[in-house]
Amino acid sequence: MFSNNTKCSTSEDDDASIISQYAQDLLDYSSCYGSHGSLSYSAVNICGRPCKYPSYGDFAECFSLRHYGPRTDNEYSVKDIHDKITFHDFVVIQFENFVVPREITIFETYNPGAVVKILAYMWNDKRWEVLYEEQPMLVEKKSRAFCPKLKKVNAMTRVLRIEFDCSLLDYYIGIDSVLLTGLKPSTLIPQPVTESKFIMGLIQQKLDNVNFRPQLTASDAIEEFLKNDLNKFIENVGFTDSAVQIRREKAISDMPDEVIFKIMSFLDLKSLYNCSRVSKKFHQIAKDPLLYTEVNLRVYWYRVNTILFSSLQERCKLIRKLDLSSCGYYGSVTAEDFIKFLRANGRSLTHLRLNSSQFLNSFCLQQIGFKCENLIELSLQNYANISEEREFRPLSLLTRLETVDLSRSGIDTFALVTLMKSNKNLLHMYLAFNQQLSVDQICLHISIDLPRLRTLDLWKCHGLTTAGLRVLARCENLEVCDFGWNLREESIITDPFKNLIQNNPRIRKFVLAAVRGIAERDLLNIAALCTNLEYLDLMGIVGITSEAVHKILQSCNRLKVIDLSFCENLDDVTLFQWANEFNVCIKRSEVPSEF
Amino acid sequence: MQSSIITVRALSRIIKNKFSTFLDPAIHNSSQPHFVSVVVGFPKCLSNKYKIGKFGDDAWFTSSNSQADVIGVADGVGGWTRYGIDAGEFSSFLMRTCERLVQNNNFNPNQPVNLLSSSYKELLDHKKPILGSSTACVLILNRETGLLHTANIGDSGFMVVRHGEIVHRSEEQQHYFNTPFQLSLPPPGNANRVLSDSPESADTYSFPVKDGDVILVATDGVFDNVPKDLLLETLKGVEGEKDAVKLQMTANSIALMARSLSFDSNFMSPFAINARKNNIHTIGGKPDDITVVLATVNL
Repeated sequence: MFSNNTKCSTSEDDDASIISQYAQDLLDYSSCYGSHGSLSYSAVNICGRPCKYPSYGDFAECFSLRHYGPRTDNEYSVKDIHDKITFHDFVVIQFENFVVPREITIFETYNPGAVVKILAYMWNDKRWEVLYEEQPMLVEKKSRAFCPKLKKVNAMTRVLRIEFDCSLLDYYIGIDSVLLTGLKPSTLIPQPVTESKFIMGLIQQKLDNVNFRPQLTASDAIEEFLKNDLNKFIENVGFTDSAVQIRREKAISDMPDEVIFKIMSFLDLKSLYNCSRVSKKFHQIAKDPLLYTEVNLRVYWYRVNTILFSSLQERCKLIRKLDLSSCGYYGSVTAEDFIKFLRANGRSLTHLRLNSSQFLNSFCLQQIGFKCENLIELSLQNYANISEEREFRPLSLLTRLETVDLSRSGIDTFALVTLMKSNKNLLHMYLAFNQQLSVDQICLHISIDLPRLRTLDLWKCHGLTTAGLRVLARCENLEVCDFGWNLREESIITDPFKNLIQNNPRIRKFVLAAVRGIAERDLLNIAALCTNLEYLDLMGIVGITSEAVHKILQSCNRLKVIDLSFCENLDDVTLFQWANEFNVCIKRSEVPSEF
Repeated sequence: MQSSIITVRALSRIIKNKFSTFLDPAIHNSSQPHFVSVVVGFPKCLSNKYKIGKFGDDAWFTSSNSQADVIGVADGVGGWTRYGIDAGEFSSFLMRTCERLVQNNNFNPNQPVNLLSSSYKELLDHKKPILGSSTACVLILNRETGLLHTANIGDSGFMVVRHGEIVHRSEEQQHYFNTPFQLSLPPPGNANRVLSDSPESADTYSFPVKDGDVILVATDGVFDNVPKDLLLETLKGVEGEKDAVKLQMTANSIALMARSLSFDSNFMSPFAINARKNNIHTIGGKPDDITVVLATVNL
């Protein structure tokens, strides 16, 4: 235990039982700007004391997420059941001592305002409790110690999950550290349960926490309808004969099953489960497999458990899209549950997202390969955070994949190559943060096997060299190219780079962050050849010049965003003028100089 | 921790700075091996604003955790100034990242080379391109085993004195005269014109230390100007010294010696002797940034 991780006991109000502590360990995270095993911009920086607060800036010593702004990646094709839920990034941290939480302070050092939800894992009840939930807000751009008003709880915790919604932000966030203040529990502190231990959730508890509150605007309309117009509606559809009137008041259950079914098709999962408890008839309708073709459990990750999962298994006979991201903390869902589910319903699945799913193991991957032959999209982000042993080879049994997201999954080169060979229709491939890959070899196979590839994300894979770039130039359909932090050893990349952009005129999003070898002539080539560009990231390019930037702005008419952070030889005033002149959003960030 | 870091910038001015952030006193009990260490130095050009952790292009750090005490110095290579690059930034970043890495959970107290190479990797991962090059010397005292692990790239170095004798000292690593081994990150397009050595090319030693051993870690500003015998003579006096203030006085005098000898144009300095061995006829000291970290081992 190191100094900056440990508690700094305070005894305010003469109350010795209040302790404040900074985060000690990082347990999980959805994304971070930095790469695994590195400190800069990575999630581990959230542990320990604040080291930059109250300075404000884009510091390498703070935790930064990889994305900001509204998620525009429409390549992701699993639509949420209700649209309101946006993607939340998260981080799970552990503190040294158990406390009953009273106050949480989050030190934000860059673009504050993204914290939307804080959950605590209650050790005694073995469940997650929401302490704070709010919409993201736009706040002044200066560092702040964010101290949200927490829901009063009386159970103790030492694990927090903080969720971020960056959709309102116009640049990366920076979180320095998290301070948890709370009462020392007077009761005996239980030994922390090992993570793999199987904990049975209670269905009763799950149902108790389910409120009938559909989150859809359409469902407001339904409520309205139920309140006001139902009787009239039933009259209109022909229940007006006197016999019915005499017997009893009209009820919603008098409607034809088809109508009830139609109404239910607007409901979210929680509400469907509530409906099942109303009556036998409702139960019959509410468990119709047609209502469960797209199931998104990501938003209910902290309520999902074995029992819910096995009851879903019955209902999901026709399931096509399944999102189990973040499910399975502390053994609430196990690999066996998932495999059982796949055995029953895997064949119909077309979309499967398992980002940060805690139960994943090699056996699950094997079953995905065996059972889910119709998969079109597979997403396995952050698998590398979960498990040490990885066996991806069974995935090559899949043949219809179009989108595969293996960011930070730890896939090995051989498995990826076989996967590509058997899925020649791949359109979108996300490989960010996989430093173990020999990227040049992957590029070679892309150029041979994946002629239709449109999206290639190699962010922080580090392995791409000019050799890889040269073979990649044979692709012709690339639209989104992310080479961020690659090509680091290369100082001259002009020719292969030119070939690449010559053959791929449709590129609209091009990330070249920290590709330090980019020189002025390469930028002029971009200006001449990439006329469809909408987003260009040139963060940290040393050889950039104002003339080249001006050329790009002039010739790329569709350009909306250009990131020129840490490009030191550019003049802010000129850039500001150009931003107005060309109607382009120019991103700039600086660190206050300290050296 | 008893170690206090005292920094002298000029003769008349002593800045005393106890780092409370280092450790909670509770973390290591005094029975565990640790350093009592002090720092002193001069930038070549005294008019620059003083910043903690650096003297001109030199940079240093001391850090510790429950497993180990760590000392490091680095000397930024000045040749980059003409490319418009601040030579001190690279060395300073390298040392400060080392300091942070020591506090990290993955820190391995037996692998100073890992510390240097992870620090170098962080440089590459920084959004702002930090260009330049630097020599570096890192010493890790493993509290548990009582072993001192060292890694040295270039012409900075260390010296361990016990019973009036030098028992260990680092070798200078040079490509050729006055061109030390160096970690570097050249501006794009210059890669093949620049010497760049990997952190793995560092000279490493591991040896046990005894109570009272004196350890001098310094940049070439000291070793190029102060003859070995004179250093030894001075260091002998503080063997077993646990008082940081007395240690500081000795460190000050070494730094002052180096400073005044470096500007003495008639002095046959170690640098001049080396130059003559390479058929360069010269005399006098070599004005340079000077950093001295002086520590005694407390078992």
